[in-house]
Amino acid sequence: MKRLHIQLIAILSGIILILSSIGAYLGAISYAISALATIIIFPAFIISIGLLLSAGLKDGDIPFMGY
Amino acid sequence: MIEYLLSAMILGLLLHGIHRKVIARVQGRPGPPIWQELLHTLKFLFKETWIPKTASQGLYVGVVALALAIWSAALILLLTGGSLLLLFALYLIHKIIEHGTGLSSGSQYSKFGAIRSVISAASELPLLASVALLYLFTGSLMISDIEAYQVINGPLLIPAFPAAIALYMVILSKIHYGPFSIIEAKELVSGYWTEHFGVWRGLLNAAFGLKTFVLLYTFVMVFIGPIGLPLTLLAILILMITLSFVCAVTPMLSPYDSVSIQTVTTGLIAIYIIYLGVFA
Repeated sequence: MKRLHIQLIAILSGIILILSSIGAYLGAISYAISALATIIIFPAFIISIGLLLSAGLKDGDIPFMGY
Repeated sequence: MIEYLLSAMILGLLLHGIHRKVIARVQGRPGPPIWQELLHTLKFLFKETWIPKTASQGLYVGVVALALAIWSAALILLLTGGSLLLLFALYLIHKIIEHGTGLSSGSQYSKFGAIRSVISAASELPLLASVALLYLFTGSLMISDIEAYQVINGPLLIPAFPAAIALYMVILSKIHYGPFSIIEAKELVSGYWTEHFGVWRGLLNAAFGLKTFVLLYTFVMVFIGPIGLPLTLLAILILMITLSFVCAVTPMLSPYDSVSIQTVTTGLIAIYIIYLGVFA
C-alpha cells in the first residue's frame, strides 16, 4: 500500500473515532452505534498509525509486504 | 470512547511493566523499569515491518486487527455493564487469535504455540464455572446487575470465593511468565507470536495490554463491586502484584500438568455449584 493510502485511512478513521465519541457524549448518536463504530474502526486506526510510524521516510511504498 | 481504549491500553502495558518488575524483585534481580513494556511497544512500532513469505497474509494481519477489536469490545462491554456471557464469548474469540497468530506465519515454533493453544483451551473451563456460580448467587449475568447486587449485599469475593479463585486462574493463565503460559514457553522461542515482529508485534503487545486491563477490571467489578475509579485502579494494581508473586515463585508447568490443574479446579467448583444448587 502506498503511504498516501495509509495516511488517508489513519486520518479518516481518527476523525470518525473522535466524532463518534463526541456524538455519543452530546447524545447526537446512540451509545450502541458509537460503540460499534469504535470497535470496527479502532483497529484500522491503530494499525495505520503503526504502519506510518514504521515506514521509512525515504521510500515511497510502506511497508514492504509480500516478501 | 477512544479515550477509554487508549487509557486502558496504556494502563495495561504499565501493568505488564509492573508485573515484570515484581517478578524480578521477588527473584532478586533489579528488573526493567515499569514503563519498559510501553517503550517496548513503541520501539516495535518504529521497526521495519513486512510479512514473511511463508505467511498467510490475510490471517497474519487479520489476527492483529481482531485482537484489537475484541478487547476494545470487551472494555466497552464492561463500561456499559453488559452481559458476562458476551464477555465470555469475546474471551473465546481470543483463543482463535492465539490459533491464528501461531498458524498464520508458517514458522514451526509458532505452530507449536498454536497447538499448545488448543491444549490450553482447558483454561476456559474455570471461567465457565465462575460464570455459573455467579449466576447462582445473583440470578443475573448482566455486569450491571452483579454490581447492583454487591451494592446491596456486599462484595461477592467472600460468598462466591470459589468463583473468584476460578477467575483468578483464568487471568493467571493469560498473563505473561505464568505457570500456565505454555503457549509462549521459551523452548518455543516466543511461542505462538514468535514470527510477529515490527508493527504487528507492537500492536499485539498493545492489544494484550488492553486484555490484561480488561480481565483485571472484570475481576474487580464482579467480585468487589463499584468502589470508584481510584480504588478500582488500586484493586487492579494489588491483584496484578499478587499474580506477579504467583508467577515469580511458580515454574512453568508442562502442558499436561497445566491442563490437569485447570480441569481439576473446574471439577471442584462444579461439585460446589451442584452442592449449592441442590442442598443449599
